[in-house]
Amino acid sequence: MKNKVTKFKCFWGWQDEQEENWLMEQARQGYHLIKANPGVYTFKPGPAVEYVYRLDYQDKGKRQLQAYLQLFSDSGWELVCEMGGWHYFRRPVVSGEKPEIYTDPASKAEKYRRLMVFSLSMLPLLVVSMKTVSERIEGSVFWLVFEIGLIVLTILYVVIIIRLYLRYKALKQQRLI
Amino acid sequence: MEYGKEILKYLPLTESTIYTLLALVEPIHGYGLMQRVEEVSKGTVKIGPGTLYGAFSTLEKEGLIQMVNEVERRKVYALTAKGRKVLAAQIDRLEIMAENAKNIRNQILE
Repeated sequence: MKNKVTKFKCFWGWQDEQEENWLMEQARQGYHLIKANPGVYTFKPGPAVEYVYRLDYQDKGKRQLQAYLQLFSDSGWELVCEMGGWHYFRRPVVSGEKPEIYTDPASKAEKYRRLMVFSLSMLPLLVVSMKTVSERIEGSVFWLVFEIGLIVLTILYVVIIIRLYLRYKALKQQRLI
Repeated sequence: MEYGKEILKYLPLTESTIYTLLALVEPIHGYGLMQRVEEVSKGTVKIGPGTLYGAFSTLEKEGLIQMVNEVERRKVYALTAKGRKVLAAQIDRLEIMAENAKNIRNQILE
């Protein structure tokens, strides 16, 4: 048996629950996550295990997150890997129970707010780059392609921000009674 | 007891915040708190680590709790004087509510 298996999949910030479910399904088939990179996932094949995976987004540095990581490990969560602020945690399912890392909607909403703030902070940079590049095009195919790439990226960011905002709002409005 | 506006503005606290503050009457670290809350609430309230980490920073920012120690990367928190007042004010409110609720409970189950 190979000791590493690579799989490809897109992951957008508002789809973290689908990502969790996908990883749980992989674990049931005997594929256990080792490393996540954008679009590329590395698994270790082995016996099927019922794992519960949970994703959290924290954009502080490792040193500032020491107490955070300690709290997760104390409460039984294994940090599998980290990708661009996303922390992939898992623990074996015990007596069918799939514990949450966020136990109320308000604190879960905060996770999406953090991600939204980060995505928003990227926009000015993209706009400035678009403007700089647009001044250089003047018939150059290279810069034209570059500019189109930037436009696509900016649209993508706007879509991500809108989706995150909707997720955030839905959680904030939960439990009106 | 009468409380000022700066105390009452935090009320009512959510159930999980009430249990969090109750556990912080004595210095405690995060995982100890999670276990304590589950135990004293007889399993009705569970606090996940993501929620608790956020709660600690919010409560600290609002000056209701403070870090009193750090043991092997575990931050130990306890209530501040302001936190104690907020908790006491919340307990008073709960007492009024529980008294009312108990009377009604007897009526509806008659």
